Amino acid sequence: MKLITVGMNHRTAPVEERELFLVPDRELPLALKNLTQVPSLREGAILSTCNRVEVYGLVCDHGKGEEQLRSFLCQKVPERLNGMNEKLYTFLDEESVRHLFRVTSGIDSMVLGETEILGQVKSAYREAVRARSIGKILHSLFQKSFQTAKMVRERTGIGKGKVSVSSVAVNLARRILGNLSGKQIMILGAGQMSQLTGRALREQGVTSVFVSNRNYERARELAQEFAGQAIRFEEYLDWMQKVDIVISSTAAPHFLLTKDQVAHLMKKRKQRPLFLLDIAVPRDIDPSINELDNVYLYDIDDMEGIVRENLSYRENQLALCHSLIQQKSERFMSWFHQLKSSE
Amino acid sequence: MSPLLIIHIFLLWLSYLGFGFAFFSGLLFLRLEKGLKTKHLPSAAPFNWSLESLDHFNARTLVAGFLSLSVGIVAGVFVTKAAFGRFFIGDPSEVWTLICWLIYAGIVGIRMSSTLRGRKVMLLASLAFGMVLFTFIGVIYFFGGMHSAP
Repeated sequence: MKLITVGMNHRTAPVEERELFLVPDRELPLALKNLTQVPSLREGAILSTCNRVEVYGLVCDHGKGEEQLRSFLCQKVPERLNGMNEKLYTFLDEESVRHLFRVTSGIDSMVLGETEILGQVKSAYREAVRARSIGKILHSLFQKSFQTAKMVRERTGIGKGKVSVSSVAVNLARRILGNLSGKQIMILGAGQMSQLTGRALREQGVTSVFVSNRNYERARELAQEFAGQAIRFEEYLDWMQKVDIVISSTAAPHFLLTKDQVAHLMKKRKQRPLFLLDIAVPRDIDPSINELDNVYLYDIDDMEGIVRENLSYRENQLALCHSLIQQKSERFMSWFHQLKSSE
Repeated sequence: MSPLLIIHIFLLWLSYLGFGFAFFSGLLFLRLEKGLKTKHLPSAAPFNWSLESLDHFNARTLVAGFLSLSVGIVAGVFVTKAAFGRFFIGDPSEVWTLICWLIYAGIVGIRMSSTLRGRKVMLLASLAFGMVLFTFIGVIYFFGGMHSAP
């Protein structure tokens, strides 16, 4: 009896291929039922997310088991089976355990240290329980993976620091302005990033969102989404007096804000701190504006620099994560061997 | 020890505490502000520390210290009157305390007028505290300590 993992992830196969093998939630019960029909398989579970499609199992013959699981994964597109040789990986016993622990802890994810995966693995486990495709061994394996994920998160910095531009923006805003509830923001232009950031700030309690766009209709649409107010593009400077945060991402080829304009604005605002986020390329805001007192200007390179720094911090945590996971895998394997020898 | 003397001493020490807190929060503000401007944030600062919260704390402790000092000086003046018959005897500590009071009156005035905010005013406040400390040490070393006869 061996533990086995067969699957593909964002490193081995690009999304256009992965999506052919994806098992959407609604198809999971049927897929699990089919999984139990795989001859060499005693217990099994399926994990299918946007980053990976994997089968975790307990097989009585690992040679045949691997072959059968590969066929199982490719059953929607059987003609692809041969082409998938390098794209599908197989892990056995301790490697398989280590892999699941790593996946659940978020260290195999595209965004290192992300937390969504834990929920996804828990969901996969619940579906397998419901479909009765897992037994004692995989029950224990999955439970241990949740415990390991929790421990890794608590004992290392793997989840620390923000690694998306919008969450870094929220953090910066809080560092400058303190509590964000009641603060007002202005969104210039209609970039996706600025909308995401606007949304994230809204969640933190920002109350007014002024949206300005060359196309007034577009501004109205966006403003509605935020329960905010659309303002005419010609008037953005006037309204800027009231806001604490400006997010700019227009397609304008020139600067929308010059140093003189902002210096004048700050006088009118009595030097209340202003956070300017310029995520446009080419930039909307004159970079020399950062020299002004009480104005904090970040462009897209600055934001991405912070994200990189935080990711790099997470990467430095990997050695510690690996050693914790190694300990836990070894412990699980000795339990597994003991169980096998006693039966 | 007259009760007025006790009040005087207590209030003065309270004001030093206030100014001390104001000084340190000012330093923290300056450090965080620099980090935010240069995009190299001090990593260890707890989340509640924002420029806004430090600024707020700084203003509060400054005003509290200043009020404490003001009332403490008034108490001291009456203690002097009771002990020497005059409101002022011109000893170094009196002069020093009045200089402090003037410096901090200036700082509080600037803060209240709110046209100067952020980095500049914090630098000014830290400089003021430096001057106050310097004067304090000067009094101790060159004039033989607090309330020595002129």
